[in-house]
Amino acid sequence: MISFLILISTVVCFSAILALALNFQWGLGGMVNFGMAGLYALGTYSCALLMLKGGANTFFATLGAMAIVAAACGVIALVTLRVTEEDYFAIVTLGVGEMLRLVALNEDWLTKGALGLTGIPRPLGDVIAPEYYQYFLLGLSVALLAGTVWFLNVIARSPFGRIMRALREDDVVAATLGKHVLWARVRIFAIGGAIIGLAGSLHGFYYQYIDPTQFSNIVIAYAFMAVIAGGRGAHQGVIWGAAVVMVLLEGSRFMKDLIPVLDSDQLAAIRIIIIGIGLILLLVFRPQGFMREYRLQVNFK
Amino acid sequence: MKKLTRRKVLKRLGAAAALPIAAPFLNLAHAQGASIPIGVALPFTGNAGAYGPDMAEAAKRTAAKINSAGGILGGRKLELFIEDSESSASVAANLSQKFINVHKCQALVGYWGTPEGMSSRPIAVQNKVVLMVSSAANAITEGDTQGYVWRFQMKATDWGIVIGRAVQRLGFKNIGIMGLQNAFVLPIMKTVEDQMKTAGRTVTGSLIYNPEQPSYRAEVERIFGKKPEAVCCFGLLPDFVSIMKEVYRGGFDSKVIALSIMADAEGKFIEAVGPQVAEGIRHFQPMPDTSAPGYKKFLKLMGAPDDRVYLFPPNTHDQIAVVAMAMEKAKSPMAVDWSKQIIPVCNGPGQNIDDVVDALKLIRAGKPVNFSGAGSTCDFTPNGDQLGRGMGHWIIQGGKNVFVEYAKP
Amino acid sequence: MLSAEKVSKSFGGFQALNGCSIEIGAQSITGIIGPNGAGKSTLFNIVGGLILPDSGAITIQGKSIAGLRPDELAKAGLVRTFQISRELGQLTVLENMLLASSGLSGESVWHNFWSPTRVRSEQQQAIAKARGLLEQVNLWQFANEPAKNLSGGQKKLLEISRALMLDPKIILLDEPTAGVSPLMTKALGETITKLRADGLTFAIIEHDMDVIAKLCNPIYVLAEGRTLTSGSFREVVANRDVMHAYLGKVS
Repeated sequence: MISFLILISTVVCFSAILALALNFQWGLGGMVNFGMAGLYALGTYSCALLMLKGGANTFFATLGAMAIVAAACGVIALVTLRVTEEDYFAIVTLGVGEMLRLVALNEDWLTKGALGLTGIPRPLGDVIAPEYYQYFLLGLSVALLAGTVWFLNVIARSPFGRIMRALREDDVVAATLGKHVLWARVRIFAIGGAIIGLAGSLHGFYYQYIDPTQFSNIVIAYAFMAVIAGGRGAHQGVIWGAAVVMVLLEGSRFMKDLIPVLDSDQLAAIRIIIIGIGLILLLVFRPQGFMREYRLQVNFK
Repeated sequence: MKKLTRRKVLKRLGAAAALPIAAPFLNLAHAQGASIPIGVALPFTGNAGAYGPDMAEAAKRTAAKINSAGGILGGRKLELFIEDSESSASVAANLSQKFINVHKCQALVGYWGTPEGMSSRPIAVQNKVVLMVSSAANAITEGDTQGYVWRFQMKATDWGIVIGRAVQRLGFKNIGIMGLQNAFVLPIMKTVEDQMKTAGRTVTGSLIYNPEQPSYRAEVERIFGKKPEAVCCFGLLPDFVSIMKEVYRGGFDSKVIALSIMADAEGKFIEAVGPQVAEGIRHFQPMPDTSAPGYKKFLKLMGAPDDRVYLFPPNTHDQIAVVAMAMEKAKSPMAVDWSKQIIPVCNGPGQNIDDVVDALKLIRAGKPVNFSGAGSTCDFTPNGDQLGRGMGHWIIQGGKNVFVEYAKP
Repeated sequence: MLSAEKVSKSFGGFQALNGCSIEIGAQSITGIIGPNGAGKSTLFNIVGGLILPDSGAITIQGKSIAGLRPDELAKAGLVRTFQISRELGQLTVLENMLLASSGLSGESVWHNFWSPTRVRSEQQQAIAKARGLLEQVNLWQFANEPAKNLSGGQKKLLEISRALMLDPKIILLDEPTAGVSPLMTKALGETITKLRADGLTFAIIEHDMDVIAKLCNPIYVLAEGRTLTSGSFREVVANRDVMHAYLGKVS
């Protein structure tokens, strides 16, 4: 039983990291990212391929994946915002996300297509005994989650974070006050991309098998749910949001054990309904989410 | 609308979350000693959602039959944990972990789709539990499975052999091939192409298409436009519905050969396109030998009429039966022991027997058996593939499936 | 100091500016008036870098600034405010002010990690400067309030104070007294006069003639996309064409 909780907590950790990336790009920065699923796949596949084909170890493969996704996001932001209206940004991200997923599915010379990649190495997988490995992976995931929160918090509370919140509301004013809007947006999207790459790498380490079906658009839905439930812009809140979504998803499987009247067909249908209802209730009664975002406050001397 | 403070919300959520968090701990009340837990992962939602319910029913009835005849290992009863795999690799992986770590299952059965099997395979091997799948992709049994992975289905390449031979028998001299980008389709396509080449026939064109496209007109024109005598199409129901509508609209004549999971799917295909579009389509699917006594017994167990054709549920019946028999023979519920008894129980040598309860009696009496199941004769190769399976061949005429023949590789 | 020569701009079929020219002298408070649709806000949008002109030259102290982005203009010393207050409502009053500080190393992501003490001390200096400016307009006590909670007049004062954080040389004010109480209007006028004495240049679009009369010299009158006339308040008010432009020709 404890093993299962440890494993699910690990999933919560990298799901939370993904939600934090979305919170950074959209919650704080106002840049909608509907290409989440495809970029997440880019992160996971990059990390896996750097190890399997490039022979890199897990540390460098993770850094490489983060750099690749960050670069992709930077390019997307730069090209889209220079060429089109801001309103089309969301659609472009959706298109890019789909493109990346289709590349994973079809370029089987690289990604083995629908068959997927197996035998993905894990950090210190050869060093730590299999019985203890899940504890290590959980510890590592928690540490990386904490590190990500710290990193994003420093940024959110900094002058750059102020620029992000200003851009989210009114980019014309920000420009009038001397801020280079395009460059700021490219950086915001790219930093979010690096975090997505980190989450993707952890995903690969955990499942050790990846195929395109794991990156369907439901990933985006769960990430948005976590961010909205947690309170847009509030980092700690987003983690709670991710945990709540995970608990609802995985915990509801156990309902059958408590309520023997339900059989599997009924439970399968009811689970998804319950998750939806839970989130709707949350949005109705607490639309601002669990927590408020950071605001600079001074003492009056 | 009431304004809720953060504290109130967290309190209420904590209470609500307590239920799903506490549930696993409450569940521990059921002692491990008495029953034998078996994890059953089946698709109730997602692409393959149509197949889960019947497969689950077959598993339940088989376990009930064994339990009412006294169970195994000195009166212990089988306890099934049935969960929805959502036709997804990551969900199935999490389910497998739950079965192993929470319910302490030593056998994982069901696993209809390839992604579910592929993601759960390393988990099963690492934890030294047996995984029994019902999926076709070759990769599942490739490499060293250490005797823990068993396929209750026909391997994908064998499907290609049967279909290829049937195409030749039907006299088609040239064919086109189109297939879904999918792990089990690709080996089938390749084998059919090879078959055509060795028989000196022509393949006028071959392409792979993506799932969930809004339209397949371009693909249909490319393959059907060359006017081959027949086109082999391999994929899943949603894309096939779209493709056949395009074929009909385009007025193409080529005869279509497909798989039953696309062209039948428990009647959903004809429902979706109508009898005119469906007319003349041939479809194949690995199926049990319906004339075998083991299959007939299975029909009675399910309470179904004599002419009912079940494609997949007999596999789950056989999986449960083999688990029970192997455990009995090894006198141990631990997979590390009984996985070695699967081949002796299924391949023999021993008395030919097709009823699991009778087989268990013989095993308890120390006599060797050779089990033949509902889905097949249940004979395995050392790396876990099943031998001796055949495919059913139907043709749709007048809005109904007409059985043509039962073909073996 | 700033001059716009023969600026033209059309939107679709509509000619908003048709060879408009104005000259804003250093340390002046130049008024720009005219009936609605004359092209005043369009002119400000062009000078402020939000729109590109179809033709015409715009220069500051002889150097062309046409085509520069708003943030580049801000660095060159040109700031504008907006007709409808564009305070950043979700940020606090103080955060609005701090946003306008230029050259903070904390605005580069890297420096927040590499040199946190420098970021912190620069922020303290910026807060001190903001405090000075806010105290002058009695807004310091609202420093922690979200800016959306201010009254209309207070928001205008905030916008001007915010612009001042940039140490600009020239400020374009677009209808600064619209929707503002008489008391606030007086305060605004005093602020502008004082700032001009400190060396700033202003260009103000206004409809409130009292404000124009008290503060502005010279005054440009725009109508139908071009400069009709210019001069002191008395000269402009006496000009018959100006009357016609506002009231329409009366036979």
